[in-house]
Amino acid sequence: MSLFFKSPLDIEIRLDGEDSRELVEVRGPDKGKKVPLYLDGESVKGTVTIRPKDGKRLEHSGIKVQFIGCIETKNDRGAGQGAQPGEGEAFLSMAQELAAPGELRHPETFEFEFKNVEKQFESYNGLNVRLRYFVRATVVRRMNDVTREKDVWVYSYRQSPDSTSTIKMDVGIEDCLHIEFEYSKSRYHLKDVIVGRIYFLLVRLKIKHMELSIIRRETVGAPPNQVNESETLVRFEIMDGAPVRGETIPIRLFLGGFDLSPTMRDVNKKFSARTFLSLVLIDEDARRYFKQSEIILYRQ
Amino acid sequence: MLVLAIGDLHIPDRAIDVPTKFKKLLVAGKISQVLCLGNLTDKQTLDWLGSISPDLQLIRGDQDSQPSSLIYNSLPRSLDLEVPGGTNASKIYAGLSLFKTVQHGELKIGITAAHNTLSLHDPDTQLIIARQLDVDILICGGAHRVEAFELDGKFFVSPGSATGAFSVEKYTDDGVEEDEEEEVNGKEENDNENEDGKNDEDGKNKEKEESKGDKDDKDKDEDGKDESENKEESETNGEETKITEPSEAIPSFCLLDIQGSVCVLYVYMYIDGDVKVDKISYRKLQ
Amino acid sequence: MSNNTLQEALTEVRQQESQMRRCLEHKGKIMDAVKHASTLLAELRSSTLPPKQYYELYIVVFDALAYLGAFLKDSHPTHHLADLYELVQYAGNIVPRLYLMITVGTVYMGMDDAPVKEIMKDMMEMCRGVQHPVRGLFLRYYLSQRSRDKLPTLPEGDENAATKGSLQDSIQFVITNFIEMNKLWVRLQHQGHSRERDKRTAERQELQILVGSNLVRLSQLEGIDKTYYRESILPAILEQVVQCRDILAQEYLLDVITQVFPDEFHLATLDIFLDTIANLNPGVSVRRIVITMIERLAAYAAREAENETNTVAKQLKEAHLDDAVDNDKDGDDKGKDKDEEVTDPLTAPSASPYTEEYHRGIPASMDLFKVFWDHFLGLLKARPDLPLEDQMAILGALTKLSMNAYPERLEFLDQIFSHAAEKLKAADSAATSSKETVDALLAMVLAPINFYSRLLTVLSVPSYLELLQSQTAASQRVVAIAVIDSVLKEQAHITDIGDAEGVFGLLQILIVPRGAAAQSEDEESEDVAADQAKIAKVVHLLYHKDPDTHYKLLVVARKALSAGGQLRKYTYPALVFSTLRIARRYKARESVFVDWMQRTTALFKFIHKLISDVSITGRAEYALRLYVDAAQVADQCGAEEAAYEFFVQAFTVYEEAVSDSRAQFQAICIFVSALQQTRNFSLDNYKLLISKTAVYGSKLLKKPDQCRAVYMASHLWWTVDDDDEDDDENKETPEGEESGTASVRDGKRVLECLQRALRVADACMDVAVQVQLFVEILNRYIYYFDHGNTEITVKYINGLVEVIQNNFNDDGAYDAQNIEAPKKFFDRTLDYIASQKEVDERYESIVW
Repeated sequence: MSLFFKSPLDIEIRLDGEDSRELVEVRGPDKGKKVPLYLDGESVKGTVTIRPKDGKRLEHSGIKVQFIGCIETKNDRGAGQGAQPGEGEAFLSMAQELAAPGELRHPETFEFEFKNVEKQFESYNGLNVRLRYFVRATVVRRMNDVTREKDVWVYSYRQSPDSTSTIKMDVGIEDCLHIEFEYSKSRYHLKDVIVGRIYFLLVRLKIKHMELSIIRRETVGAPPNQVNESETLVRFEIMDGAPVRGETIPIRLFLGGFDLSPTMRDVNKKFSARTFLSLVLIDEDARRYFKQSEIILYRQ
Repeated sequence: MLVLAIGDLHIPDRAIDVPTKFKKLLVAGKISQVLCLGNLTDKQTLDWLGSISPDLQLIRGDQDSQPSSLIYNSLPRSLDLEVPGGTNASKIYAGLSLFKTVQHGELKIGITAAHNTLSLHDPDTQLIIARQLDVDILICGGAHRVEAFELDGKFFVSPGSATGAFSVEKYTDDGVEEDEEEEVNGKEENDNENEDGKNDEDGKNKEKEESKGDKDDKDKDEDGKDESENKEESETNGEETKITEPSEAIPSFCLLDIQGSVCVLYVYMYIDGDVKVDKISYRKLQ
Repeated sequence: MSNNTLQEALTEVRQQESQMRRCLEHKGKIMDAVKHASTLLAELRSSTLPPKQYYELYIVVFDALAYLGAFLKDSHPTHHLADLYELVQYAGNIVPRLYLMITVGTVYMGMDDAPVKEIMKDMMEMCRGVQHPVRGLFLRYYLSQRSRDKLPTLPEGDENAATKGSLQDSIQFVITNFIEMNKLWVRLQHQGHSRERDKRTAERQELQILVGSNLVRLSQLEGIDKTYYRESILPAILEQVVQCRDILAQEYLLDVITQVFPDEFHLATLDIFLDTIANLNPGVSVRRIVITMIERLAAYAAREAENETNTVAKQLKEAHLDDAVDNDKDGDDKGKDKDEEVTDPLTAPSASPYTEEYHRGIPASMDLFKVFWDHFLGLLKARPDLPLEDQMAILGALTKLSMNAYPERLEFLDQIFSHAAEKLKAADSAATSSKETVDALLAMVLAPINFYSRLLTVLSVPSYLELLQSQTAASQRVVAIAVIDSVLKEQAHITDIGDAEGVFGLLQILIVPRGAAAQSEDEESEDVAADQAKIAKVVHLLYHKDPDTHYKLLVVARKALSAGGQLRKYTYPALVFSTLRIARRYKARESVFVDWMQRTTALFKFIHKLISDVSITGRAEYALRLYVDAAQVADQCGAEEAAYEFFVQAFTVYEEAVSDSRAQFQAICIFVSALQQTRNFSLDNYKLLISKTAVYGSKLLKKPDQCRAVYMASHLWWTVDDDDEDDDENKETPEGEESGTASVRDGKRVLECLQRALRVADACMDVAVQVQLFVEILNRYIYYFDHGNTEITVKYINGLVEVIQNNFNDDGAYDAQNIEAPKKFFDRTLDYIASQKEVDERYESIVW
């Protein structure tokens, strides 16, 4: 962390069964990083190893390990320069004392376990907000503490909803376009397939093609300081050329191949991440006409 | 080399056309020269003869008597006609010689139409013409039956009519027919074989100087149609009335294969829908 | 510009294809291969290529995908096709996505465990996503091509049909694809600028085969019966055809339907098909559609007729003109015997599968002609503006149908022709004289001529002549030529008087030219001469074994030909010779016909009139020749009076019309030649005639002609029978007519003639000519000497030889060059005499 103050010790956090555990690739700025996957209520267990550098004697005021779940927003991160990240937003924080203040001469390994931790939210890595879980080991020292963090990923599964309604809509531009479209369901699990159709009742536009997009909209904070941002995750051409009145165009989109996240609403009163299906008609002059409808995604 | 002697076509006044089988035989490329013995009265046939060989020699036949034979308008330029001024059809016609001679190897051949010389079936008259023309072979048109014989060291040929055109000659009528009728009376009328044999006898009696080819000609003096008519006739008219239709001329032409002083004459006849060929040789005495 | 685009696209496709192949060959990289395939398919998203170039691109892409398909087939189930089918659907662009789906899906259809029915349905449904006409057409064409040999053919009830699909599913599949393609194709017309309308029409024509291929595919599905075709298939197709309301599509598709489905199907659905026609876009050329169908069925009937032998129709069609009426009974009986064997119901192939009776392939219960006819009338009602030429063209097709399917039902033809004639009368002249109308009519009137070999058959259609005579002169002429050509080609005798009248009736336009041909009459163009020659040939086809009937046929011919005016000179000679033949045939029947002489006399009167008409047409020399010919035949027939009269006529012509000296000489040759061959004249008559001839000869202008004519005339007093020239005992003719001319041998007159010839020759100034004539006369002396004419003595011969020798010795009078030929001739003559000395002692006394 500091170039000038070279850390006098190394901290290594290892989680039990780390090699055999399923890993999740994290999107966003830390792309390519793979972190182990945990489920709600699962124990988080592992070891922390402290190694003094250069064989020097090391004095400390105690060693502890924490398991933290927090929601970080871009604003937060930008605001508190040097502040301990995640502290304020943590919705979950558990700690264990590993060692009383004392002296270390040799590397020493401490075991830890957070039993049956409730992890009520699913991990999320969005544009302006992320929801993360991590293990933090801290060696408390007089001058500056030495910490080490290790992220884990959490999936939270939901039961499939008992009833699912279709989405049916009738939209148009007066004297120009009138379509009816229909998605088979309003709720989809992440490996699901969206099936539907578009029925053209009136076509006076010179349509070039039609796409179906999946858009994720993030909402962070509360009014009036709320920030909304959308991201198009999938673009899928479903029609080439101009249909005539009476034509029905089928929709089928397999979701499994895309990196989607379940719908999150008002997570810890901090943020929401919702998913919309957007039907886009592009005319010959490249004008886009669209209609969005929210779908609920869940992990099954 | 092959020389075609053909004549007395009389299309369309007396005949419809040359038999198709003849036309199939006579095609371009085999024959060096065509000698036409007159009475070539239509343009189509002229064109056809011209197509067999560009060397087409014509003489004037008895029927070629009128400018209305428009065909002479379209005579090929290569024909060496004496045309005294103008291309008027009658003048061209008038330019057609009555006689013509050609030389092949050691043989000199003369062609003419019989009416010019009164030579029809009179060998002695033909001999005079041959002597006058100083030819070894004299080919005469006008007779509507094929004939070939040697006399005084010279060879005389009548190729007959290539269309089997109607002939006013006496021969086709009372001569053969009446003799034949008697014979028919004496034999079973439906027996065509016998008829043929009997015709042969007629031939021998009538034509002492007749060549072998000519005899065959007479062998089959009736074409198929006549035979069948005879049959019908016999069936419908019963035993007591036997009528033999006047025989029609048999379509025929001759090919002369000339090698040095030898001429092999092939006689082609169209009998019963088939082409029959006979051959006879002539060698010029030195 | 677009060419560059094409080249670039092709380059890209080929590059991607080779990468795809590499991926496939280094096994396992299937997903990468599919990605390359997807990339190359992206080229098919092009909007800039015209249809032809797009097709070129498509072909290359097709090959690439075929390679991929084959690989996928081999790697199944390691890479399970069901999985691949889902995987390729992640492709973001629809065109590549669907091509890949079809590639995988159709390969999958070929697998044993595949849910074929479901795949078919899914592919068909998803293809809706491509609404762009050209891209959609090719995509669906691809679907059609790839699925072609995988379509299920199980019967509906099969237990596997639920998953594997049935024949009906396949039919539905193809029909759906057809309907969708047609919609796209029609839509193409309405895109883009209206000023490019024609260009689009042209492009659509280039693409039509893609749409039509579905119907071809449908027709190739095995196991479809005509009931199903009638109930399900055709209505579905026709509904689309009617609904699309597009002219090009309606014309094209109905044509394809007509072409690809079997005739039996058409017969079973004709009503539906024809009803459809009434509902087409008014701009559609109904004519072509109707005609195509009519002609198809007409051709079918003709083919089927080939297989059938036991029909009256067949006999009618094949009956030749020369099948003499008397002969018919006989022929029929024979024919029936034979036919009964052939059509034994156990062995007849066409009859067995059906219980219904068929006639020329058409069910007996169906009146095919009536179906079409009613439709035609209905059409006229529905579309009164149907152009005249279209009506005529349809009638033309109906003519064909009627002849092929119902050759014996001449009333059908009558119906057609009278309808046509009526319409023509009602129409204005602009319509009737349009080239198309004229051509259509011409085809209509020509068809029966070429179809029925018995012209009488055609003529027995009451309205035929009426229709024919309403045609333009040019058309009538073409028909007439066709009649002639057909008659001449058959070379069959015309034996029936009705036939003869009919034939000459059809030829009327040629006999009496009207219109353009008539104007050139004066010039007697080659065409006119050629036409007339053909008519003359027809005369030779008139024949009956009964000479009386034969004569009647010729009378019919003359009646018809007499209208020809000047043109008679071309046609009458044939009549003359035909009649002369009959004269001989009467003679042959002396023993049967007691009155043969009277009949013969009538004939010669007929001939006389004919020749005098020829003479009037200005063909005097030829008339002369004909008179002489007639005289010879008359003489042979023992009709002395006629023979004499003919000679007299010939002499008259000679005196009145032959002025050219060459022609005069020729004429005399002809007289001499003919008279020499006569045998039955009384001596008085003969002497009259020959004296006259000799006088003509002596009056010739030029001395050489005169000389030759005179010495030739000598032969008239010295007849030579070809069969007994040396045999004096056998002078009597077989008839034994003692007064006949066969015995004329008047040595004295012969000598007189030769002496006279010598005198004429002597008067020649040109020595070369003179000596030539002398040698010729010398040869005649020798001829008679040879023949035993005692008047010709050695004295004369020696004298002439001496004269000739003296002439040769008088070398001041001539050029050696000119004299060379006669000199040699003379030498050859002397050689001959020398050679004769060896066989005949009489020659010994000839010396020189």
